[in-house]
This record gives sequence, C-alpha cells and structure tokens, in this order.
Amino acid sequence: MIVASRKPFEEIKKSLAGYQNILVVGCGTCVAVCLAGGKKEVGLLTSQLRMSYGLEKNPATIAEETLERQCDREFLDMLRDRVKDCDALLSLACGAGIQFLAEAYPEKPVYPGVNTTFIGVAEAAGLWTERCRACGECLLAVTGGICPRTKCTKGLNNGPCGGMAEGKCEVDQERTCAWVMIYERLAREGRLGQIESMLSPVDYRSQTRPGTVTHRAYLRRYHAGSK
Amino acid sequence: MPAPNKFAQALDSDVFLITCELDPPKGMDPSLEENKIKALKDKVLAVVVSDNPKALLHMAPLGFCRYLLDQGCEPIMTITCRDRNRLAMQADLLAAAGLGIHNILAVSGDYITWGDHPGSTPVYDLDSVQLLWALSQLNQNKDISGGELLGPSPSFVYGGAVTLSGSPLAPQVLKFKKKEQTGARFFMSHPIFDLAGVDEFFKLVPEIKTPLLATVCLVKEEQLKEETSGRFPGLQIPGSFKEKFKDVSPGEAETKIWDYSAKLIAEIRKDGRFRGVHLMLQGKEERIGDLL
Repeated sequence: MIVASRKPFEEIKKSLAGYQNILVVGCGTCVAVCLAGGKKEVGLLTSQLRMSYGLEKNPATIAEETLERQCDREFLDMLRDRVKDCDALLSLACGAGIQFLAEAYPEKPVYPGVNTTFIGVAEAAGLWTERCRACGECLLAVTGGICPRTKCTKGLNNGPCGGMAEGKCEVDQERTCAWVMIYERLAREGRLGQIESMLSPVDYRSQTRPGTVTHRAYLRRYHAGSK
Repeated sequence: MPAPNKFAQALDSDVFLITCELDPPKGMDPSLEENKIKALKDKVLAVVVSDNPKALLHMAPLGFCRYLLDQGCEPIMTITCRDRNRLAMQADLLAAAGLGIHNILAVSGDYITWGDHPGSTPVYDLDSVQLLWALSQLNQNKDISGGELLGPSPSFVYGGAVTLSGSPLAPQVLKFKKKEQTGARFFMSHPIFDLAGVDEFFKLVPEIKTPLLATVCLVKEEQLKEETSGRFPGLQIPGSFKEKFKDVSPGEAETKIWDYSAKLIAEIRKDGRFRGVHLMLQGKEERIGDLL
C-alpha cells in the first residue's frame, strides 16, 4: 500500500489561514490503513481544528467527509454538492488522491494534510516499512524476493557496499544489510548462481515521469505507451 | 604524449606497492595541500585522491589529480557512484584520460547523509561493479551504450575496493569476484588492523591473481572511543584493536598507534599475500616519513 504520515498540525493550520468554509476529505484505502487519513483521522483533525479555531474565536467552519477512494473519479464526483459550499479543501489522501481531487474541482484550492512517503507494508502495529520503489523493472525473481533497489540504502544492484558491518547497514546499524539478506536467502534456496554475474544498470526509461500504464485490453482505446 | 605510468608498470613487476590517500582541499586552491604533496611525492608510488570523502564537499579529484601530475606526483583518481549518473561519470573519466589521469579507483562512496550536504540526492546510477565494467568498455573505446568513442582509446588502469574482514564475508567475496570479472587491475582493501583478521577471506579466496593492497589506517584517538563506534563510514575498528590501546593515557594514543601501524606495515610486507600497502593517514600525510 501507499504509506503516508499526517503533516504537523501547525503546518496544516497555517495553510488553511484565511479560509472560512473548509472541507476535510479523507480516503478510505491506503492512508486509512496506515492511520494517516482515514475516517478516524479526519474526525480527529477536524475536532482539533475546530477547538483551535474556537479558542481563537475564528468563525471558520470545518466540515468532513471520507471517500472510499480519492484516486477514482466516480468517488470524487460524490463530493460535488458538499464542495459547492466550501472555499478550501484539505485532503488527507496520498499525493495521487490529493492531485485527483484538485483536478476534479479546479475552482477550489486544495491543500495536502499528509506527506506521502512510500509503497510499503504493515511491519507491526503502528509500524510501516518500505518495500517497493515502483522502478518498473522488477528484479525480485533474481534477488530472492528481496528488493535491493529499495532495501539497500544505496540501491546497489551487485552486492553489499564496504560499509556493511556485522550484517548491518552502514547507514542504519539497526537494519540488516539487504545484500546479506539476499545472499542468505539465495544460498538457502541454492540459487546463488543468479547473482554471480553482474546485473546490468537499471534502465531508467521505465521510470520516466509521469508514468502511464495501459491495460492491454485498452491499448487500442488510448494508444498510450505502457509503463 | 601520455606521462609514463609508474603505477601500471609497478603492478606488472615484483615491486612492493605503496600508495597513500590524500583529500583535495575544500576550496579552489590546490596548493593548499602543497606540503602534504611534497611529503608524499618521494615516499609513495602513487597518491590516491579521494572523491568528496565521507560525502563532504572537496575540490573535484579530476582537477586535483591534474595538479598532482603538474607537481610530478602520480595520482590514482577515486570516483564514487554517489554523486554522478552514468553519463557524467563517463564524461569525467574521458576528461581524466585527456588530462593524463589514467589510474582510477572505482568505489560506491560513503552515503550522502554522512556528509555536509545530507539533503542532496544520492545517485548510485551505477554501482561499483558496473562502474568497473564501464571502465573496461571505455578502454575498448566505446561507451556503455555501445557507442564508439573518437580518437585514441583510453588506457585506464582501474581497480576497486574489497572488504577482507568482518562478518558475513561471503557476500563481500561474491562482489569481489564480480569486480575481478570486469578486468580490474588492482584491489585496495578496506582498512585492516591485523593479519589474523584477514585469514577467513583468504580461505574463501585462496588464489588472487589481481594485485591486492592492504589498507592501513592511522586511526585517530577519538575513533577508538566506544561511543563513536559507527560514526566513521567505512572504518570498522575491531574490538581487539581498541583493546590494545584502552589503557593508553590521553595524548599518547597517536604515538602508540603509529608505532603499531609501522609494525603492521612491515608484517604486511613480509606476509606474501599482499602486493602492497595503501595508507590512510587522515590528514597527517606530512608525517609519512615516521611510518616508512
């Protein structure tokens, strides 16, 4: 999933200064799972803003709504009536959702309430860790299901750097070196031969921004290149 | 007419190779390091010029290496994968060859957050194995996209780094072998602190055809302290080494470490597994005479 973290309250409040009717829009998918922008977080932030404005005798009104997804037009359309009455939108979706909301309502200023960080997993309660850099050229088949481009701090493709010490990363000694994990996994599976020759440099054409993916059944409809 | 390459000639001989690291200045005037260059010039075969060491901004090694050549001192230019993409690295390497700098040490580079521009982009477009391969391609007068280069082909004498101690060693050996496959002409180890610590590596790699230089680092007193452990990228000081100096009174450690290092260099020379020694004097290059 896409992992995000809520922006500091003061930053959010500063970005909303001067607006009178604010709609806080949550997203029910990834950011809800990582406790950054789902219905519960929207409720908490809205209450916090109301209390803060109340103390300052700021008459601005704060409304809230959480959509199932902000990365889909059909859900964004459901906001149309509520958006009419606001002069600013605060989105707690990931960066993609925030932009799609802004695109759906071009006449309204849209502000982000989260920082989008990475594609990751729920490592433990309240802890999310990165797993994928969306490079468009997956090499997990070769590296034993462990991505060196993500899990090696330097993103090295051909083995550990000289800074690896006692199996830990040079940059964070709490973290196991990705290449130690890859080596041990492939050794257990008898697949070390897969990494004994140089892996070629990454072809960054697959990361040319902005990326586009077209399902092959729709190629004729869109005539777009695929990611 | 390219300058004679003493280092390349020595690699092909039985000479015990001695090199020393030198950081370029943090500034535009290469003569800031003149005293160090004078001290090293007649003591070592070649000076390994670092490339933004520890990710701290310094003059580019390309310019400083050219200055060394002008001073009659043969350089080995370090190039890290941290700061440039493959286009910039190849371009800089061609410029180096054009300026008479043929010896190249290709390394990954200390991570960007160690340095003084921690918010900068870490590049690593190529890793050190791929960079060594790129050097092999340039020597065939082509770039890594397969394009032909014009004029005479570069004749880089390129090498890489290798980790000889620490744990686990097997992934490091795997990477070392990949580097060997690129045709690297020499290897320089990460700092070693005693010969017993490298035995496991030589068990895993009983036969090394490529000349290997053992690196001896003149550790600073503050680097021995337990609380600074992990604060010096690439410098893994074993507990056994720290133990030797734990009772030394403050201010005396440096002398004792230099004495110990001089003995270690002599041992490396006799050992037979190394073709030479590479020194990291960490700013004390003017004292090289005390060691050799």
